[in-house]
Amino acid sequence: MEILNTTLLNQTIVAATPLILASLGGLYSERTGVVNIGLEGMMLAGAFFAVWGDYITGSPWVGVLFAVGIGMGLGLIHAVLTVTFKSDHIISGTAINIFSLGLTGYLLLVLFHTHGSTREPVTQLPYINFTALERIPVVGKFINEVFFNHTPIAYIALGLVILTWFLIYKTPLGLHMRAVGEYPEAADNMGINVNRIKYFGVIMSGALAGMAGAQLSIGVLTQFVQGMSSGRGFIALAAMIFGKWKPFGAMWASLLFGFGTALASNLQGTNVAIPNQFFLMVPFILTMVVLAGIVGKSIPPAADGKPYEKENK
Amino acid sequence: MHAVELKGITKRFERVVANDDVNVEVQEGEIHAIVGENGAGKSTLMKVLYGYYQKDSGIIRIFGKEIEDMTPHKAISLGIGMVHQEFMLIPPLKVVENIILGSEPRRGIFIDEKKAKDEVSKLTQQMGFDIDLNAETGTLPVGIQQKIEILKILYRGAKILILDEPTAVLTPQEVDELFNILKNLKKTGKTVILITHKLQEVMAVSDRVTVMKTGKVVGKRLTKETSPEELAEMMVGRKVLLKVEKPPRNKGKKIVEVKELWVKDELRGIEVVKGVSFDVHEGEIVGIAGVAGNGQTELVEALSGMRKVEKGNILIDGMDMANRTPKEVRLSGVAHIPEDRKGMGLVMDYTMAENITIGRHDMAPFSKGIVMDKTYMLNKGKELAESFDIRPPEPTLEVKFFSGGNQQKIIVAREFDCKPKFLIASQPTRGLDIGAIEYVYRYLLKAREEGKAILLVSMELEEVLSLSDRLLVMFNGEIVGNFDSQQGFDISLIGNLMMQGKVF
Amino acid sequence: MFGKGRFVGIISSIIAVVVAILVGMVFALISGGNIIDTFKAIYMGSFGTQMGLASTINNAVPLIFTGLAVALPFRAGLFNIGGAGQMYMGAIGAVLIGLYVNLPSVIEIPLAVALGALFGMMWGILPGYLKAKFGVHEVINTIMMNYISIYFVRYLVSNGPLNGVMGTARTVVIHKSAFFPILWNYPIKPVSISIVVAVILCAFYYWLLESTKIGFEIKAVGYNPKAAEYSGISVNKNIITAMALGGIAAGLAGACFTLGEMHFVSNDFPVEMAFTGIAVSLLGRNNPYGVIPAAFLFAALQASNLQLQLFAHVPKDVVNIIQGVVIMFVALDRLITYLLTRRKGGAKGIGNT
Repeated sequence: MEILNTTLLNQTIVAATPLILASLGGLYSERTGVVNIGLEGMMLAGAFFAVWGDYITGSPWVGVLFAVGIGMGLGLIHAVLTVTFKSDHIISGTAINIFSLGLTGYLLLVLFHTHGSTREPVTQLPYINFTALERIPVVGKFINEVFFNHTPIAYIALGLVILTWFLIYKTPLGLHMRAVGEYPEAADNMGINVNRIKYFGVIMSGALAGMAGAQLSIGVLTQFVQGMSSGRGFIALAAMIFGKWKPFGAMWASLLFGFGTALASNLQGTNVAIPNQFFLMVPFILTMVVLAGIVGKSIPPAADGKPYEKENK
Repeated sequence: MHAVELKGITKRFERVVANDDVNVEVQEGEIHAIVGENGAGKSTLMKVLYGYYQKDSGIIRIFGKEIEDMTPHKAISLGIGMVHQEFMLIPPLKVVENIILGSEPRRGIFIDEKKAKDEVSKLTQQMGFDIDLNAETGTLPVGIQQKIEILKILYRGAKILILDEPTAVLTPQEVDELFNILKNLKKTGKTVILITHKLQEVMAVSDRVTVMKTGKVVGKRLTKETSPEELAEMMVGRKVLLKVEKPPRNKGKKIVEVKELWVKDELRGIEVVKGVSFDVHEGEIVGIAGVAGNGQTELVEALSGMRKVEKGNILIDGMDMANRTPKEVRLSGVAHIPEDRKGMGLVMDYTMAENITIGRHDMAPFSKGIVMDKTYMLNKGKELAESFDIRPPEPTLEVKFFSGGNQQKIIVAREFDCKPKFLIASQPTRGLDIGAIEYVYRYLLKAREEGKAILLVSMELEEVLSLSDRLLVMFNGEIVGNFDSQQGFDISLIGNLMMQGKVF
Repeated sequence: MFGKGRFVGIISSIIAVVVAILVGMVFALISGGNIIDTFKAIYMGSFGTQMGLASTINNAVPLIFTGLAVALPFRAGLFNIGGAGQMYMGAIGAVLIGLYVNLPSVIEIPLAVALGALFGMMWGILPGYLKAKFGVHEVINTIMMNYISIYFVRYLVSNGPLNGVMGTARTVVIHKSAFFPILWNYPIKPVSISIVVAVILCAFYYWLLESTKIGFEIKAVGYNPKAAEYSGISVNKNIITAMALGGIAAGLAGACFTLGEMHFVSNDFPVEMAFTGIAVSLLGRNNPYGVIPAAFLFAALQASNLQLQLFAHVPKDVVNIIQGVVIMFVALDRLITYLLTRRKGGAKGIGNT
């Protein structure tokens, strides 16, 4: 089929990268029992701060740091509200989403004196290329065109998937996170500081969502566009659920959803009978189906979304 | 030397004194049982010892050293380990992960899985356990899970093990196995504190006993120098009896007939009510005595339609109401004062008038069509506040602002006002002060005089003894004794049945 | 029946607004505005001029509806984030009648409104059903359904059957007979009867919650599902009922916006109104009447956007910042309630036995 070319596969990775990062972010938070629907806002703020950091220093890497920083800041707010003050996780996440929308629009005017988007392009993140690979017969060109021509963040995302897997399943910290997300009373009883673990998870969550935002603004583009996260935070949440709260699961789900997006944009203007919007719906429909347990049940951590308080008679 | 010495421990929760100047000494290397009825303060005391609760006053000494501000973390490092009544295991984790949680052996930043497995399997061999360390914990039977809890403690090098009601969830075979484990632990020099209300366990395994009652220590004995009868008497005690004036019974026709009822605890997957049969007639109070956790709660829930019945019938006035909805059960003339007042009996954010209405809110005269008659509700609230002496008599006040006693009066008022044929009263006086208790008694007796059939379930033996016309003893899901007040209640016999299910 | 708890609720709503406006002021100052100009701009932009008043009213209408869409389910203990999708579907329901049926207004308008409400309701019932049947958290499903409906409507109006003009993403204008009658014919911003429909729905929902057994059951389920079940109330049935009522409100938001203001449906339908609806509902303590002042507050802030930017040099996005902070402080409810009740020495234990 004409449509299944290297561009499509390359675009799949492009579309999946922010989803991988943000869904990992969701995973850090939810594994410690805090629901984070603020991913969307954290991603948006990350996208803006990446452009700003880039703009004032000329270095996209400083931009990435800025993005991670604001993500962590918003994560901290979410943690203070939900962990320390035991607020409703959904309300707090919603507040962060709306707040970020306002904050980025406001700063756009204050710092860049424009509306809608930044005008002057900032330095883009570098794209990694291995033209040398193309000399390998048959597969060389394919490999370069699909797996390269990406920003370093794409590889960082892959690296973080592996790293997160090791962290969650192979380190004491990861064991503590799983324990806290499933049964905080038991973790507390074993002398684990439950709140500290939750703070770690939520702040990490913000950091990753922020980085995902940087990839959108200074990886794919060279500017910030208002509302540019356009639901990716929620798709990432869906990917995390679809991936059953597991790092590689989240990655594969992100790639699947990214493939849907890439396919939809490639189908535009072709004479394929299925309208492209239906491809864009797929992640959401799949998530609903999976959650209902119709195709393989996806079970959240047992104490996800519940505030932890010591029993008090 | 004493492994544990608790001196003058007092712990209060809001208005309840859970531990009142408690003194307990546990010798090193002994199995020390702490016995008492439910609510005697045993678990609270142990949670204070473990640092989960902070004591209000008193001294904790561990191996002679006074410990200020105990925390679970400190307790662990001092060699204290606790197996909670409710297991503290994380179901999706592997067995080995649960055991090392919080004290993982490390290699660099990673968990040293090999070392963990080696250490744990050495421990399991020592204890003679046969457990697959890689299994998912939640899939294992409770007996095994309990062993994992014990391993968890030993892994942390515990010298003092506290077990809170460890046999509650075990089969008889598993109980025997557990006792062997405890005796082995004693042989290796460990100190074991066993919290229980089952006397045969105390006799079978302990060296010394401390008896608690209503937050206080009421006796200390060497196990070999005491008898279950003596312990039972200390536990149940001779409380100041609320003098209940009971007119002679006026027994009418049979209203309730429960036949071979079986109920399962879905969560634990075990039968908790095992073939129970009894009947209740008009104008009599049938009491069910028993220690908590012997199936009474589940029996009552099945009777009120809140829990599925596996087998058997519940005939109310001849109609089988087993496995009907709570609503259908209510409509058949059953009223219920639930044991969980705040969780089940009341909507705390609703006003008194609304709570008096709930359950009947969709019926005339409380509503006409879909519209509720608020004036009627308010008047009803005022009327019941007066006749049941609910204070303050403000129907528009949310029930969360009422005291516990008045909250209970609101429930009693509602259930009585339903004009039931059959009234189930489950722990109707729990947490109430004397005045309120006296009041509840009066109303139960009034209902009896009015010819209602009444089932009274209570952990307070005195209560069932003084109110019941007939008394059933429930033990381990079965009815093991059936007494009639006309023959007089043999208290020591009843006590023995409650504690042991049989007579020694 | 009013209880004492409501008093604390209103106070903490006011605190949330005050703090949020203070935070908004700080942002306004940083961006070079001054306080007097800012307040003047807000006043002129919202209530001080006819133009301002007209746009405040028009802005408030969808916010009242989307606020109700959150408030009703909230009373049953459910969080309906699906207002956007339900609103979108409501717009489609209304536009279908407006495009394809041509009847006298007295028949066509109610028909269009009803189909909009029905579409919104169905979009609300599905996540309710999934919660009742499979125990899936309604938040996730309502978010998912928002996006499904956004893409679905995008398809309908761009390359699907409702596309009006090739190359655009919108329907054609609906029949004149489906236009809402105009209440106040202010030139650029005519105010239609939508506002009346919105206020009537508030009154109806308030009545439903406070005076009928339907509301009695919904609230009982929200406060204490176990006690509700015990007293014979079906928790599952009420979950679905509450979501249906929420869906109807959101569906009406879309329908009234289409019939009263836009007169067609396009790709860039203002779905963010549904998210503001969350703030409206929380600020209004999830009370159908409380939703009205909360909606007008945010509507006024939005209406003054232009004035803020032109005359006070304050970015319009300060309004969103204020919204975010309001929600954060409403989220801190427990803290505020705690501080308030502690001062008063605790309202507990009146009338000890």
